[in-house]
Amino acid sequence: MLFFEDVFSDLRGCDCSDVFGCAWPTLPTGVITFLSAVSLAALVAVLIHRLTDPVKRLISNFDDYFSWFLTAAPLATGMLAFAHAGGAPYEKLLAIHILSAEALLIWFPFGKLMHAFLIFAARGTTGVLFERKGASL
Amino acid sequence: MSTPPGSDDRLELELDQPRVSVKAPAVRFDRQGELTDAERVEKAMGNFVKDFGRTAAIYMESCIHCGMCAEACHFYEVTKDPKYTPIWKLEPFKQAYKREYGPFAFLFRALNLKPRVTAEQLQEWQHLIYDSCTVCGRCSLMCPMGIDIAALISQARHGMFHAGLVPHELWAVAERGKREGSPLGATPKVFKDRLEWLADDHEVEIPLDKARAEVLCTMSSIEIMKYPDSVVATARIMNHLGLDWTFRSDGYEATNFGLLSGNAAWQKEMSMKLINAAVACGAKTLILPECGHAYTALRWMGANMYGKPLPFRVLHMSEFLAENVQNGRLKLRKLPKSATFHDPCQVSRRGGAIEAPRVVLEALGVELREMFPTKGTNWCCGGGGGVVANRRADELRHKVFRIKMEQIEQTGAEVPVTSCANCRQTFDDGQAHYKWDKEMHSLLELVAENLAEEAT
Repeated sequence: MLFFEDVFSDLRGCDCSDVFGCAWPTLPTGVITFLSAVSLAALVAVLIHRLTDPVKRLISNFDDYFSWFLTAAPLATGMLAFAHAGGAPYEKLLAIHILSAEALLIWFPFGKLMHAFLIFAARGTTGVLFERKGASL
Repeated sequence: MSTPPGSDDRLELELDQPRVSVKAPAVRFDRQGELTDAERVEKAMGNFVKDFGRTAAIYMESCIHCGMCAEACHFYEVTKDPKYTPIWKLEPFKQAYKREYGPFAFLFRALNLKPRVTAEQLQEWQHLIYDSCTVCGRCSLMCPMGIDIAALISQARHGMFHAGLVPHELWAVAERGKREGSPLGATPKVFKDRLEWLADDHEVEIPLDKARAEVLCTMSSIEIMKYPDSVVATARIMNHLGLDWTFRSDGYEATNFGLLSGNAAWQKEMSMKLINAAVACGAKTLILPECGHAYTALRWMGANMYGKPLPFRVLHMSEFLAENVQNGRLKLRKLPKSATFHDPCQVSRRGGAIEAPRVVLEALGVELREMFPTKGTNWCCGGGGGVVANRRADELRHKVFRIKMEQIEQTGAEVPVTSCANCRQTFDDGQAHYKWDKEMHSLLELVAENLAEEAT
């Protein structure tokens, strides 16, 4: 959900019709703001869980927290930009927002976020092996 | 302290106790060989990655540290100590993977993002890898990313074995296995003597070393040494079915300590004994005994050892019994009791032979009361993966056994049944420890006791 939200909201500004002859569909600002708020709240909740649960706290490492930070950052900066936080120039806020989204995309293949793709490889491998043996729950 | 136990009194077996192990050592030797600390670390990590294919690499990259495996583990469940979280048991190996072998190892090393694994760390983890993991694979099933954590633990054990960082008893048993061909001293001579004694004592015909036979039966050393009634039961059932069958002194030991200890060369040697014996007598079916890892070793890894498809079928005893119930050859007397079935992890959860024992129990006419959870998600008895032999693990294992007792008590069944001799000895030991009134039964022996009519 986060991924699509980022793509859909970040590309709203760019005029794709110049290049492709058709425009990227966009969601209304209200929906984006609402989804961002919900996502941020969920992210805060999972962070609290990670910090307070003894098992999660023990096994977590830098990657877990850094991936969390980079996922939360575009949402937070996007909302700040939208709200023209602190009266700062909109361009500056937007630049920070875009930068945070780029940081997320750069980090994506190197960190825990890759689980979104690795899940198919990992589950597939184990699944094939267990299926062959006829193992089940 | 780093001297390995040699072939002396420190290896003496203790066969008359509820569980089989080596005699309690005066001094434990949980480090073997004369390697330096640096060499130990190198050996452990080197052998961990030796059979490290893309599968293991994918697993290593996939863990999202969600911690869900904790609640799948009986050791965590009874202690609530986060260090028993299954994936945490692999921490030094994950650390080494990132630092030495992962795609960005050079970065991790250059910036020292992950410190080098130390021998002390491995020594500490020996407790987690050997004493508090039965390789039951319950965590593997619960993992949302599908990481086969149990398989990774086995691989970590390979490394630990080569580094000489194995608990005293497991090393002693593996050493004996290598020296004598059987981890519990069931040498071909002992096996022959036992068969003669059993045949006389129980007035049952037990064929040995027939040149040709349709069916080759095998045994686990726990049964040969501790539950000889299982040998008799096997013979009675084979004779009852009127099969052309035999035991072979050149291939009878289904226990594969090579697989258990993580020595691939030994594993192959052990499997090839069985395969060669079956080929030599032209067997069409090889029957594996009531043993957990023997099933994995030959049924699922045998062809890989042989290098081509096996020219015979491999069946676990429960599968063989179920097949003969279903084709109508095995006729059983009804047992008017309630029973519950304990799934041996390596046969059920990790082996796939889940329904076979239930087919047999149905044929016995018992009222089957399933545990909760059951089948693939049944709790482990706590003794697998060599844990039952490891005295250092006793206290923890007994705690874990309470889960099993509660599960069985909840069913209210009169007769607990399983089809793994190692589970059985774990139950025997737990029963003695808690002075419990429930005794674990072997499916095989239950069938032998209830054959509809004696053939001979």
